[in-house]
Amino acid sequence: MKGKYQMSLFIKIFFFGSIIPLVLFVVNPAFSLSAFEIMSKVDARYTGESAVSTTRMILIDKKDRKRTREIEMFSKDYADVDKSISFFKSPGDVKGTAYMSFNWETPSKEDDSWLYLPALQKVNRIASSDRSGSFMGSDFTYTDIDGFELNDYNYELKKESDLVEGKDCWVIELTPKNKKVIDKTGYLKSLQWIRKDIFIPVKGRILVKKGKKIKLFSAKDITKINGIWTAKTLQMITTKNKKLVHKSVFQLKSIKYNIDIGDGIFSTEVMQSGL
Amino acid sequence: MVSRLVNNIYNKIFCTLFLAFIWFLPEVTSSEEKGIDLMSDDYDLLEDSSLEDLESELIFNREWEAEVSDKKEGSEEKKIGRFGIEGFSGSINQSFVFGIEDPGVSFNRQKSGLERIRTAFNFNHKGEISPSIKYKVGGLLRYDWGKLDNNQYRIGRNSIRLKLKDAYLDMYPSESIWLRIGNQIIARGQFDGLSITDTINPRDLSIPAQGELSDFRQHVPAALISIPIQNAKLELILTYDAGADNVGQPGSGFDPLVLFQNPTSLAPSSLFAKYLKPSNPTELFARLNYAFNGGDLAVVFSDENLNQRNLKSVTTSSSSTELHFGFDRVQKYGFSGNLARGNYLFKYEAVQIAGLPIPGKDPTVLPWQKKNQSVIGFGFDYSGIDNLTLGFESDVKLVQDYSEVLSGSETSVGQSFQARWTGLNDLLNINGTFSKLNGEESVISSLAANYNVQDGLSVGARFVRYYASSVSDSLYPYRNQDVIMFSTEYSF
Repeated sequence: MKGKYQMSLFIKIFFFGSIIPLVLFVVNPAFSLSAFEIMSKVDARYTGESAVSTTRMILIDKKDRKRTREIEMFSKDYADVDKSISFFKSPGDVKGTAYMSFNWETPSKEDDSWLYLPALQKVNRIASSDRSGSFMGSDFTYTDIDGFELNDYNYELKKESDLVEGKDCWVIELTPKNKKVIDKTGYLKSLQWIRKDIFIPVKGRILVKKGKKIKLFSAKDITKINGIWTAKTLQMITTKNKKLVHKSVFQLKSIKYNIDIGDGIFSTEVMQSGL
Repeated sequence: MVSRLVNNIYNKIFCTLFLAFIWFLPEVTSSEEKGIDLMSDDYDLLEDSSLEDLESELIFNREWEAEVSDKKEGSEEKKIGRFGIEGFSGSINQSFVFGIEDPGVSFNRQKSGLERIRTAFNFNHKGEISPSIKYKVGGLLRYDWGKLDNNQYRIGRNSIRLKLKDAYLDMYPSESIWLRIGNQIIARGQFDGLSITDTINPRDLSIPAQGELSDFRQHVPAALISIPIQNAKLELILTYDAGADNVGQPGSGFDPLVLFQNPTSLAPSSLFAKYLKPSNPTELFARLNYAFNGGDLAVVFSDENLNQRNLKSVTTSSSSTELHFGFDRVQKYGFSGNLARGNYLFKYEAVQIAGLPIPGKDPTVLPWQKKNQSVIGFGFDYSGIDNLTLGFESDVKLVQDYSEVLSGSETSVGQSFQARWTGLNDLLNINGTFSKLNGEESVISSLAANYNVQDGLSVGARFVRYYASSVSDSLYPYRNQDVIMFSTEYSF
């Protein structure tokens, strides 16, 4: 979907697609591309019309204690909106929790989100800007999950070439255009390492608005599944004073692209009834 | 005079500086952070060492690798709808409750001390009969380790109770029609602390603010159908024998009969309650739900029995008085909805109730007069402060055709405040509530903390306070029932 650069955990980053841009840019990827053009290519990359995945979210504190959540997620692109719904399958204390999000293409439309908590057996809408908070206790925020607007940022090419695990990358700085974007995302600015061959952000460093924290993002184990580049492991590390505070890992367990997902699944009724 | 003036000036300066500090704190923090070098090699070291740990411990699990790589391109092109089996789940909760104050002679526990030790075992099984028919069965096994006897909690005088909770079938005759039949909770409406349109399920009021959230609403036998109508969805809900709010047992901390001791001359020891069945056990609720970008709106109608049973008749003999509590039939129509704007979620509800019985100054004077009542509620959640969410809800009740013989006033207001904070990546949750009951000075407040020790295992503590200053407040007889609770829960 164009017009929206999504550092989206499920919708974009897990499901990196690169069918269209490779032909044009792999030959000489560095040729006269501005930072905005690079990010536009990242945003415009084909990532499938829909996806069904199961992931494991591992939360690790600085004492190396781990908590694990398993999530099943459905996403589908429509003409004007990206819809996704996630169900927590384990552990027992979050089992049955469901999160649904509609990310509208029109910038003037705020995204819609709902959360279902099984203890209450009730679906509650979440405030539009309540996205800078942690996604289910992880180091990823709801913004990371839902994505954010390409046009919300100014882009600057900080480094023409930098190697990440042997792959040549551009280093691009993203600066929010206004305070509203900062409030929405909770991020002051970030650096993204974009792989030149497949237009994927494989590494990121994010300056968090509050708490003098810096988050370190990385995408690992990138392989092609059903013709779509897919990162099987995502990691977000929260640091303070260059020391580890907490980290979260999303590990892809299974994924199916371009499945015919029924429209009815993106509803509050399904959040209640579960899978 | 001079010192007061100096004090005033000092206070104003202090307040101004304090507010300025709060206001500019994020900016100051931001400017300091702008000097940070995101390109620093120090972060490379942190990333590398962290990834090495992950690679060795978590990432390259062969089983998972196989699952991902086994998916052939172009395969699995089947229609995905609702599927899957959730299997078994449940929890074991162990709680200890201590009464802090001396409640008085009307209750089994008359002095501060142990109130109860309880083990609760919740279990659920969810499965599917066919791709379009699923089921869920669940229950609660509650074991009380002792009983209050002669003003002492005695271990060994135990009791056990098994309660059916979820027991329903979910059916999908078509992709957009949902039918659920069976024992279930149907939580609707916008408010968390007040119930205006959320009246399908009766509540457990036997231990206000002390129970688990999952046990607050009482399951009802019901049939629910959700049908799309253009861009909206019509929900029709039919319940049968839904029952009433659960109230405390005789002598327990919230025995409702105690309410009838003060305003009447009835002797406490000779009061008995008899609960009557409703004349019409069937209730109908209809909701037309419309979700739009940035909000939800529902138009509601119901023909229902009030969840709170009211006094219907009194029979007296030489040795005792029996109070008969029964159901009242009312019709309600109104709307509820929300608007999400920035960090705010605004919530509103309004309902018109036809034929609501209202007690007089002496509630034993029967029958109670029936009046129409309007209830309007407004509230919001604010989530703009880190991991803190603040909530406020208020309801206004207006009795139409009011007369002075009625208890309470023509217009009454209630409020509820909530603050929820989560920290340490959701390991720690702290929740504070403050609810001022409508039309009274009574307040129920609580402060709870919950810590997630490991996956599925948590420990918690909660303090609950009941405040009432006026004899006419419904909470007045229970004002000394403050408790502190400790609990641990294992979920699977």
